[in-house]
Amino acid sequence: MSLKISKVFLVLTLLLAGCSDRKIIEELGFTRLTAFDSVEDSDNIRVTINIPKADQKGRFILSTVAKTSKEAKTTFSRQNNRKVVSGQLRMALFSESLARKGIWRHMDTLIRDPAISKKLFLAIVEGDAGSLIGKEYKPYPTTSDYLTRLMETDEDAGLIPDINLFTFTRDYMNDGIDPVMPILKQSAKSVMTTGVALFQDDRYVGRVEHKKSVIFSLLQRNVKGVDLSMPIADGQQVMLGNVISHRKLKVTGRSVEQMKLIIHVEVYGSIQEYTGQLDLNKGANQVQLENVMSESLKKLVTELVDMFQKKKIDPLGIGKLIRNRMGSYAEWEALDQRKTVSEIPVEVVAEVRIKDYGLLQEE
Amino acid sequence: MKEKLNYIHIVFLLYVVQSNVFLFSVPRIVAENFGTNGWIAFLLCSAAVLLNIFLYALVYKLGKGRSVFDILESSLPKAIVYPIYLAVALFWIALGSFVGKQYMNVLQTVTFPTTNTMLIYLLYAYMLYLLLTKSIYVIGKASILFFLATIWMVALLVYFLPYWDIHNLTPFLFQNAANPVSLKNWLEVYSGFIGYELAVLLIPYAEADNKLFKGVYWGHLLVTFVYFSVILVSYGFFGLRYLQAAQFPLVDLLAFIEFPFINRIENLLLPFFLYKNLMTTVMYCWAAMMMIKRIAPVFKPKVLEGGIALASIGFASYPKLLRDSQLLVRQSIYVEIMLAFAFPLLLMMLLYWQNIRRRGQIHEFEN
Repeated sequence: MSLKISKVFLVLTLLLAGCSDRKIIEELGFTRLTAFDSVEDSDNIRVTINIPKADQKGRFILSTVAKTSKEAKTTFSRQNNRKVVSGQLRMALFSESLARKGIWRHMDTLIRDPAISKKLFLAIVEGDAGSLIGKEYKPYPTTSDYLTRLMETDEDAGLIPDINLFTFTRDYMNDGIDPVMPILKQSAKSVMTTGVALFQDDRYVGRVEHKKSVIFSLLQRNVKGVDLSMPIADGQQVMLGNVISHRKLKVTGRSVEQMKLIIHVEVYGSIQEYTGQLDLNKGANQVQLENVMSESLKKLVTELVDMFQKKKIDPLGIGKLIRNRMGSYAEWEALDQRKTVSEIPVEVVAEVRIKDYGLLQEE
Repeated sequence: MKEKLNYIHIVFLLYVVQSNVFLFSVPRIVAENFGTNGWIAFLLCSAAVLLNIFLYALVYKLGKGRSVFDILESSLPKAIVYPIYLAVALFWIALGSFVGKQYMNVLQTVTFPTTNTMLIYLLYAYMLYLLLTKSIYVIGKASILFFLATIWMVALLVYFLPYWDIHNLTPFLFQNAANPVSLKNWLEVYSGFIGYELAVLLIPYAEADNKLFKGVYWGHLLVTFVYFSVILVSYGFFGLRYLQAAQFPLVDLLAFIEFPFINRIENLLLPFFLYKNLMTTVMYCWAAMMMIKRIAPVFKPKVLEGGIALASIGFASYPKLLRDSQLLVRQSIYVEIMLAFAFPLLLMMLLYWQNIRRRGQIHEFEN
C-alpha cells in the first residue's frame, strides 16, 4: 500500500515539477546582444537589445534611455509582447565614450544575474554600440551569430585577447592586473575587430592598434596556430604561419629598487611569406633571418610595454609578479602600485625560430 | 539478526554526511576568513577534526563497544539525561532542517527563482521520511549510491587547469582577510566538517571488528580531499578579491564549464548535490530519532519517523531568506561544534569514573 502511494507521489512530483518556474519559449524574448551607449551631458545610458525572431529571419531591436540596465529591461518588457530574458545573452558591447567614464557600474548586473553566462563576450565599440547590434549584416543569418563567430575566430587567430565576463571581472577585482577588451568597428557591410582596449581599473584609457594586436596576444597568453606578420629592414615583410608561442614573465630582485621585469617570448612558425633577398634554402641564412626577426619582435614588444608603462596600466599582470616578490603583504599594500609597475625596468628577450619555410625551395 | 555496517559503508556515510551545501561556498568562506593561502587554515581545521574523531575513537575503545546511551545512563539518573536527549534531538532535527533549507535557497537563487522553496522541501522531507523508515544499514548502502552520484564531478576540476594561475595564490600567509582573524574565523571554516560526531552513535550498528573509526577517519579524509581540491582550484582560478566577492564559487565554477553541445550545465549538476545534502539531514534526524527512541521506545513503526519529517518541515519553513538560513545554519553549527568536543570528554569522564567504581567494587568484593 505505502509503496503504491510512494509511486504515485513520485510520478506526480515528476509531472508537477513542470508547473513551477515555467519558461514557455513562445512567450519569451531571448536577448542575444546588448549594447550600452553613453548619453550626452547625463549619467543615463542608452541600452539597446537585439532579440532574434524564432525563425532566424528577422529581429526585434529595442532601445531606451535609462539609469541602469535593469530599468531598461523593465521598459523593454513593457514594449514587447514577450517576457525579455537574458539566459541566452551572448555578448555585451560598450561604446568608447561610455567606457571612458568607467563601465563597472553597468557590469555589476551582468555578474549578479545567475541567468547570464560567465562566458559572455565583451567588447568596446568604436562609435555607436547600439547601431552596431541593430544592423543586419547580409549574408550572415543573424547579427548575434555573426558577431559571436567573429569573436571566436579572431580570438583563435590571436587578433583579440581571450576575454569574457569572468576574466574581465577577475582582472578588474584582483590587484596587480588591469582588464582588457577587444575593440569592434562597424563598417558599411560588416564589423571588424580593430584592436585591444586597455583599461585602468574600469576606465578605457588606451588601445593597442590591430597591427600590433597579435604581439599583444603573444604577451598575454601562449598562442597556437596564429599568423604573425612583421616588418624587417627596408620595407621588407615576413609572415610566419602556424605560430606556436610561449611567453614567460618574471620579476627578479627582492626590493622594489632592485626589481627588474624579464619578458621572454618564444615564437615557432613556418615562413609563409617573405619578400627579402636571402636564399632560405641555406641553413645559415635561416639563422640570420631568425636573428633579424627576433630583433624586430623585441622592438615591437618593447614599444608595447613602454606604452603600457607610460599610461600606467598593467594588462599583463606585472603587478601580481611584483606583489609576489615583496617581503610582506603590508609592504605591497603601502606601495604606490601603479607607479611601481610603470617604473620597473624591463628586459625583453625575444626568440623566433623557423620551423620550415614552406613548399618553395628557390625563388 | 540485523546486518551490520562494514567500515567501507562508514567511509561513504561519513563522506555524504559531512559534505553538504557548505561545499558551494567553502572557497569563499576560507578566503573571507583567512585571506591569502587560506587553504592552509582549512587543512589545520581538518587536522583538528581528526583530533576530535580520535577522542570519539578513545570512547569506543574505553567503552569496549558499549553504546553511548549505556555509558551515559549507567552513571547519570534518567531524570537528567532524558531532558538532555530531548533537547539535543530537537536541536539536531533543527540543524539538519536548516542545512536542508539552505540548499533549497541556493537552488532557488540559481535555478528556480520563483518556485516556493518549501515545495521542494516537502519532497525533500518525504525522501527523509522514506530513508528514516529504513534501517541504518540501508541508509549506509544508499550513501554509497549518493557518493557515486557526485564524486565524479571532482574530475571536472581538470577543466579549470588552463585558467589556473599560481600567481593568484601569492607567497603570503593569511593576509588581506575580510574579517580580522579570531576564533570565529576558525569556527566558520571548521563548520564545514560537522557531521563526523554522529559516528559515535553508530557504535552498536557497526561490525564488531574495531574498524568503525578507521572508516570515520577515511571518510573525513575523503571530504577533506574533495573540499581541498575545490578550494585550491578556486584560489588559482578566481584570485583572492574575486573569490571573496563570489557568493557561491562552486556554482560559478560549474557555470563556467561549457561544451560545444551544451552550456549552462550548472543547472543540470546542482540537483545532484541534493542527495549529499539530504544525507546530512537524514543522519541528524536519524540521530535525533535514536535519542527519542531511547526515551520512549513505545512508538508504532513509522509514527516517529513521520513526526520527525513533519518537525523538519516546521523548522525549515522558518528561514525564508538566504541570509536568514545562512545565519541560522552558522549559529546552530557553532553550538554543534561545542557539543562535538564536549560530548566525548563527558563520556570519557564517565567511563573513567565507572572504571574506578568498578575497581572499587571488585576491591570491596575481594575484601
